[in-house]
Amino acid sequence: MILSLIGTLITYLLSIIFLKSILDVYFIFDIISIGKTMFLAVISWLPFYIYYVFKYRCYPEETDKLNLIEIK
Amino acid sequence: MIQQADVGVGLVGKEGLQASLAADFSITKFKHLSHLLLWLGRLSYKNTATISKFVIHRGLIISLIQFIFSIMFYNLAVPIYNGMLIMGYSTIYTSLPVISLLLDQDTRVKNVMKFPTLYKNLLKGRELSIKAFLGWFWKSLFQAAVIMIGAVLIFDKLFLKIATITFTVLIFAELLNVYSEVNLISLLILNSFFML
Repeated sequence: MILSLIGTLITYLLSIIFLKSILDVYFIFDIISIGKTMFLAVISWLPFYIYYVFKYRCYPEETDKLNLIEIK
Repeated sequence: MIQQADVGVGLVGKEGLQASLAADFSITKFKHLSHLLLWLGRLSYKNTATISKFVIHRGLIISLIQFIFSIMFYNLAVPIYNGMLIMGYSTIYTSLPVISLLLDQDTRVKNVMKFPTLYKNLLKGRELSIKAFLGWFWKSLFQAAVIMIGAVLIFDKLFLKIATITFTVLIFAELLNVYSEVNLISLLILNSFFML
């Protein structure tokens, strides 16, 4: 899973380098713009992740309970 | 049996291979049936359900971004992303996360063999219910709206580059979505540190 995420990120970064005419992102290559982009991505994803965590903590599925017992 | 059942399992026996060859699944020993049903069957159903929901979400979010873009810009009938980006989005940028969903495991083999009631929950069909699909539709709508409206509000000076900005955010959002969907054992351990 981690490998697939890293692989996709590398693919995207490579396409930025090789497909300059299509993916012109050089104008956002400063720390503030990258921060803003990451902020937008996190804001769109975070509410659902909080919901998952809430569900995991308050109403865990049977498999979650079993996994937690094993981890402890 | 084959006309009535949803799936046929054949057992390789001394009498011959006719039944085994005609079946959907063929096993050599009867004791393998529990592993086939409880582990492989369960995992297959759960992962197929997750992948189908993720693929629907993946297609829906890009359509909704286009829809919101058109509404925001006076019903402009211009595609926000060019063909190469759309093709890349549905192939190289999101194919590896789908594979990671395919290889996902929510628990261990010994757990499902020890507690066969875990299989029983699947019979309720909650993974592929209308409610589950509506949940993913809402997720697509929310994320598309946040990406499109947020990009216009935050990057007001780079208004003309809205396509590149939203596409970059979209790729990262999809990767984060996969992260929250995958529950491989190693990630469960990692998550438990944050959740406990």
